[in-house]
Amino acid sequence: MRQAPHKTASVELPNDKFLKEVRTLIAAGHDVTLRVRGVSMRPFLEDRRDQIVLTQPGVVKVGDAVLAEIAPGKYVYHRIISIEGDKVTLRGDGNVYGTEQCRLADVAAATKELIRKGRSYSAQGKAWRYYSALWPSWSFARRVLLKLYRMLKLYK
Amino acid sequence: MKINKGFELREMCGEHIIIGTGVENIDFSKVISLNESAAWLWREVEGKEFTPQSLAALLMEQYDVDEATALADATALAAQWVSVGIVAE
Repeated sequence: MRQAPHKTASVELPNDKFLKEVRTLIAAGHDVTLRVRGVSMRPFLEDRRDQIVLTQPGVVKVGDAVLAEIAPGKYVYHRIISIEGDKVTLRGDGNVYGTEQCRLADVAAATKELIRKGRSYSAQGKAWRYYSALWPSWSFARRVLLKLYRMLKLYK
Repeated sequence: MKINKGFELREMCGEHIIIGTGVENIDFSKVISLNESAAWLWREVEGKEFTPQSLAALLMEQYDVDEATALADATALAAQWVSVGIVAE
């Protein structure tokens, strides 16, 4: 049956294909705003609440949060924790143990801006840089802080 | 009415998505997706002047639908396109 043209439901695109298109748009020189999905960049970025503005990667460095293709068609938006030659290691701020690896060429986009609770933070700005420097990499501290964050969220 | 400059209909993963290619920043947190019949209408009127009446006429050509329904649907669609800023009156 014909569907009335104005009856459009909200759609969710499959991540692998969608992010591949996003990568093409970024390579063509556009910046792209995406809504955050998942909890692996907690506590700064929350699932479905926040947005990130992505741009062409240029020269990336340790500490940058990037969109990277870690396996064919599988993308993550995580922080770079080390670069050795061509080998990049990533880890989500909200992840206690897991890391991912890719090559420099697999870094699809860098962060231009982060929009948290509707407020915009430049990736070059003080607030994001302070947060990036202060958020611990030590797994134990992370586990404790993330647990506290989840408890605080429950009481809100 | 007419489609605003810089908006383009693209196929992404089997969905019809309107992208603002004229703008520097493409915001997917506010993406507009069109269903099959709306996407067909979009392609028909791209680059042309149109009215809810001409949209309704197109709908009646393509689909088995009576005039009242076609006009109601076309009017609602045109209003929606204007309200999200992809079409100018």
